[in-house]
Amino acid sequence: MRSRRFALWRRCRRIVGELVLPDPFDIGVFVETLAAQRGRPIELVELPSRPATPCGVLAATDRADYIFYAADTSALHQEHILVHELGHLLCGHVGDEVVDDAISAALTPNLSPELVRRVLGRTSYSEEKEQEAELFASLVLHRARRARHRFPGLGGLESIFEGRREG
Amino acid sequence: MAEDAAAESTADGVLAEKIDHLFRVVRRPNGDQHSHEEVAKACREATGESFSATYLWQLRTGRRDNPTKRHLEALAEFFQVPPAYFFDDERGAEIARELDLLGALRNSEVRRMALRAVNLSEEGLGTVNDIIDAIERREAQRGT
Repeated sequence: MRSRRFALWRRCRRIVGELVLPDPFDIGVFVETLAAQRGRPIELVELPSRPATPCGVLAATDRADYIFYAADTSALHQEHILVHELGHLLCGHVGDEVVDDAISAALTPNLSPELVRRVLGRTSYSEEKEQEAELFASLVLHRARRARHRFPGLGGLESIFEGRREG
Repeated sequence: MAEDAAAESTADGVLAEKIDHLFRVVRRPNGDQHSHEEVAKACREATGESFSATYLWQLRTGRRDNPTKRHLEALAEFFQVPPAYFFDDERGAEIARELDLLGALRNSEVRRMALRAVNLSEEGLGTVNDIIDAIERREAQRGT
């Protein structure tokens, strides 16, 4: 278990280490750069707010990757959501499956995961991928904020709270 | 008497619509609908009773509406929905909504999807429909 987590951590650090982050960090520029590298559009779409709206959704079609994010939250939180979903993209999580078991349990509580898979024709999605995407978001934003810290005034208030973390 | 209980949920073509809904959403891996013979055969095997393709077609098209409880249970089993789909109005309606959502997802351009930190309830279904709609609009814009 522990060695798996370590492997996840190393893999994630490697992926993040290879990224060129815009300096100063700008989520829009970052997304554009990644889309150009991948040769596939990444579209950011605000989710209309409803009660119990998920804060972020990644959906892929044959043409593009869509990232939906909650409209009614802070800019910082939105940035975090977007980077988390980018993590799913860059860590190669969007493979064969449409939705994971947790999502199908939430969306279609009366239907069995077996039926969901039978209709959508894919396999399940793992908790580990969520962890990896979350780790990805933390590492990218950590790097981004360290860069901001070097240029006070560009990064906004949050860099003050960054503190000293081992990097 | 128990055999007649099933008849209550079958009035006014509701049963025919429910069966048809299952055929439309729950398909073969290649996307084709299951054949009446295929489903009838599975129901024959599950119940040990006679259950012909013609009989199933009659149920699906509302030409007959008097199946036994066991027949409906066998149909529910084949399509992997809870038997309550046929016997409980409230849950039946919920299951029908969820089937619609699955069908919409399958028919949409969406190939893969991941959601973060979800606490989806009834409104969550609306959110997913919003997403499917938004994607369809954007794909249509690009496609022309």
